[in-house]
Amino acid sequence: MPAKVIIVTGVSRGIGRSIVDTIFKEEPETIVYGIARSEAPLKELKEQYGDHFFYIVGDITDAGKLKQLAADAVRDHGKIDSVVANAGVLEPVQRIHDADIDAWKRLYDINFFSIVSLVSITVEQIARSHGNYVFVSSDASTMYFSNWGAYGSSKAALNHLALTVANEEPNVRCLAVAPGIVDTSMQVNIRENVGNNMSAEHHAMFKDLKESNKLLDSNVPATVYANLALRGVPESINGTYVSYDCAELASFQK
Amino acid sequence: MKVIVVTGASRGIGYATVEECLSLDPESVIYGVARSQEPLAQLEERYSGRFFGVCRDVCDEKLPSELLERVQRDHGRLDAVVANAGVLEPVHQLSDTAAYNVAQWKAHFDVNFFSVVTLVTTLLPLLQQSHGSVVLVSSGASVKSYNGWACYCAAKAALNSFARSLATDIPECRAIAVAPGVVDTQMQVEIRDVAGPRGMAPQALQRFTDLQRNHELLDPRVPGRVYASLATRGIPAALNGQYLRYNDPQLHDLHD
Repeated sequence: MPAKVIIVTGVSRGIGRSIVDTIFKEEPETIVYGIARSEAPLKELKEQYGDHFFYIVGDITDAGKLKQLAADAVRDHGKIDSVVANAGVLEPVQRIHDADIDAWKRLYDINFFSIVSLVSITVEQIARSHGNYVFVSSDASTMYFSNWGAYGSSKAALNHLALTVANEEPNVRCLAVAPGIVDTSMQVNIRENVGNNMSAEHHAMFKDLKESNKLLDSNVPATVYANLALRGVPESINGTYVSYDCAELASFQK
Repeated sequence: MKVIVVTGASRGIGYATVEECLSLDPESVIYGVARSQEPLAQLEERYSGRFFGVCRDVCDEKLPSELLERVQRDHGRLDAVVANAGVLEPVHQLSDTAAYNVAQWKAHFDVNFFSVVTLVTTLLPLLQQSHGSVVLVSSGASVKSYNGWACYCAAKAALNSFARSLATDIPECRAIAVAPGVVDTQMQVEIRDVAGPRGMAPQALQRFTDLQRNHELLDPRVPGRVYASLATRGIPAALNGQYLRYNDPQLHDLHD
């Protein structure tokens, strides 16, 4: 079977980095195109995976960079099989009275509009290869953490986008998947920074999760995202929002 | 005396909501926001002393604080906000790369989502004082897929989420997102005549043209009465933060 060509965003650290590592662990012949804002980690990935990993340094809100990434993949490897939209930010976390709407809009630029653009840019290729979109969503799309209105709503919007992609494109599958609560720099940010803008109860909850070692290693959800990108989204859950550990994804967790 | 803000008050669901509020609660007072001065002036004349027109685009940055100041100064209280103003476009298939314009998507979210967040959060202090209600006009599109409506659907999904956030974060107020059904308004004309033919698959558009041909579109007063009931009588505790359709049985007791 010819190697898959997969685009992953936010690959410099956290879940995105683990997704890349897991993809190559599962299928070393895969070709991965990554984008992130920091060049150093991208260079490390290049050194590690050689002619199987290609990258662009850039912000995903820059449509020009996304177009370039997609064009490079098609020019040099002839196709795009899957896109994993992972890059995302949490802030602003604020009392709703203090909602800084420009900060909300910047969050949406990253967490939502850039993904719409990425879909628009790649959908023709993905349809041609009967491929897949995998969106990194969040429990926050359906559960309510205090003062997370911007982030939670952006993930709710993203979940709906998955539904539309699946509905409009018969040859494409799309799945929005929550990764659980993962031991990444986003959680560090919550404990040490934005947590102060949350209720004491919710802030404590996140701190306790870390202290009692209950945060997931990023490899755990990354395995699910990587396997979805490689094997394809199951038809039965196409277009939906699920958690990484749902029953339908049991076989994707290994 | 209830003081209520309704956006998109000049026609359609917003206009119906204004009239239903004034009828349901003879002592209520409405601030109606819309871009068209003429319909607002007519409402002011017909409901002298009870309707106050605010001729502004909901995206006008100065609207929330001006409204807060005006309501505080003239009535000293605010009991409900009905966030009704909304647009439909852009409508296009996601695969139609030529039609995709991220600036249009952002402009849509400015009207249908971000302006609602700003308006509600600015008016929150008054709403908290009166244990008031935030009523958001949502859509069935928030939970189902509509061909060509990726943008509208996602913005309504975000709006439903905002209702939940308000319910979680603000114990003194209640919020609800209610879909109005498929209503005989200008938006439906836009779907049938402009957006649909240009951006929807024919079978998907057919549903809307059939509804109109079979006289099955709702009179705006039907959902208008539901929004007015919620605004004048308050949101039941059990429904705080939820998304419902206008004809959900749990909303029946409100409007009789």
